[in-house]
Amino acid sequence: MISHDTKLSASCAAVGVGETPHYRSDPIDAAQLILEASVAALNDAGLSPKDVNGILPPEGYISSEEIAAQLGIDDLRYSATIHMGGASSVAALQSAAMAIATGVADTVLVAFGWDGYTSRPTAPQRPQRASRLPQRPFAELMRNYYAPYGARLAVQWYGFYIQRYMELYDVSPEGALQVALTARAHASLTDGAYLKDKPLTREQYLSSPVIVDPVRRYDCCLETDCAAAVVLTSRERARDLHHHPIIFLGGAEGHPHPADDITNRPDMLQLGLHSAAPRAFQMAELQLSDVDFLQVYDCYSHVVLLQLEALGLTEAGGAADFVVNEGIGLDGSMPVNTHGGLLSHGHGWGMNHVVEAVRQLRHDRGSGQVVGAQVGVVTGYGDLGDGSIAIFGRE
Amino acid sequence: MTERPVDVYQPKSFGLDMDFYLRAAASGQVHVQQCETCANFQHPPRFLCSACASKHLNWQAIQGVGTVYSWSLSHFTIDSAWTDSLPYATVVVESLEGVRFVGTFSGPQNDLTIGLPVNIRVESIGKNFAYIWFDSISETSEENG
Repeated sequence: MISHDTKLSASCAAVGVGETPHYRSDPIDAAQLILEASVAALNDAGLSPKDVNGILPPEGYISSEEIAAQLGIDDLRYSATIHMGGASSVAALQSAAMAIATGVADTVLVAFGWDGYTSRPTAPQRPQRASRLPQRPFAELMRNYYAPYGARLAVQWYGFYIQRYMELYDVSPEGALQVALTARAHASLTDGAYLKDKPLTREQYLSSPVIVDPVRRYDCCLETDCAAAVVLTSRERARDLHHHPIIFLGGAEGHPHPADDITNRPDMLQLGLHSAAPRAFQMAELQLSDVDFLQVYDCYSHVVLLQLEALGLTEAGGAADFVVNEGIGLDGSMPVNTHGGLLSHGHGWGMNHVVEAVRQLRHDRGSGQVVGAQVGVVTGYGDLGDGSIAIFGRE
Repeated sequence: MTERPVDVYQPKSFGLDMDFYLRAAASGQVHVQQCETCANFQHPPRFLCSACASKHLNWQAIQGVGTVYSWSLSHFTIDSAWTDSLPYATVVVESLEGVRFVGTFSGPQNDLTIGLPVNIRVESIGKNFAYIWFDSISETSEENG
């Protein structure tokens, strides 16, 4: 129960966003990318590193103290690391809001970055500093109980619930197809999208190999080396800065139970987002009908469908029909991943979704703009089904 | 029929996970923790009962019967031991006790369907590891009949 003395909703605003390009080439140091994106976000905000007194770093690659040391942040008062995989960036926003709303910090940098392409599973071996790598709380369980049976990759674990979802609800494969095609179409309108100049046709999608039934190659997120960051400050301070303040209206994190084992959940189709979404909407005192776009963590097209249902867009099993009949394009009923998402923009662990949400609400997206956007939702999703959500609105 | 790789990955287990495998390998039967306080069965093994937080947990052999809950049909693998088996199904079965195991279905992949009744058996591999197999019950009956 949130104390009446500390109201999180509308306590702070996103005032700066920054990102690096997405790289798929020579090995890159993730720490350097993270610092570049952080500086870009501060420059975008018109702030100096000396203004920052809260840092939420990614769950590996660089620590808050290293960021502070490198950027000259000399009075760090709040630091925390969110260990929720791809749900971390969005979950971290709630922590940033808590710090600002309580006065523990007034300007918080939330940063993400990694070397996803350089360290992809099929990459040639290269030396890794063990301390740089994120911890995976389910790692031992996966080794003990999934790996002997050939399931070593995320797509193979999610195959367990995607298979069941498709069968129980007779989900049309057209839904995932449209998620993938729409993402690529949105990428074509987005500077910085890795696949901006690579249109994807229905025929290319259908002839692409199946990785884990029914997930095809073009249903899978890209692996890129990249970084992105957002700076938040109090709503009062935000009004003095030059961008239109983008207000944090609500947020939440949620975890399925047990979080570390997909296979022993009472309902394998329940994601962390199912429990987080209602709490975030309650905090914001808003409903989905108030929302103008959704930036949804798209590790796989089918996981987008489940999250649309978790957000309450449709009843269970109804997302594919919504995607096909109502539309998730810029001109559809509910625009989704207006930058192309992890599928076509790049793998920013969802921090690129936060950056996109802020740009949309600033009305800064040119031909990729959701016209008149006032309120937007961002979701995060982490192995093995953790969820997070943030709701932003234009001041 | 799905064959398991000859060089199947054998996890180096510790603690309770090691207990799970040692017990299965020695007895030829899957054992899971059952709570002495509330009778809840749980898998994977935990320090406390996940239903009532009791520390009084006993290992019990399962009956060895369940139904298919789901599976993951891989057409791609990074585990070279499994390359020759592509495409292969990694199957999740819910036992009568209400716990779920990951294993390999011994029958034809096309027979897999949610709710398919199966027997749950283990193949001991050395002292430290046991491989979980699911056998279609009707097939087993025919073999025994």
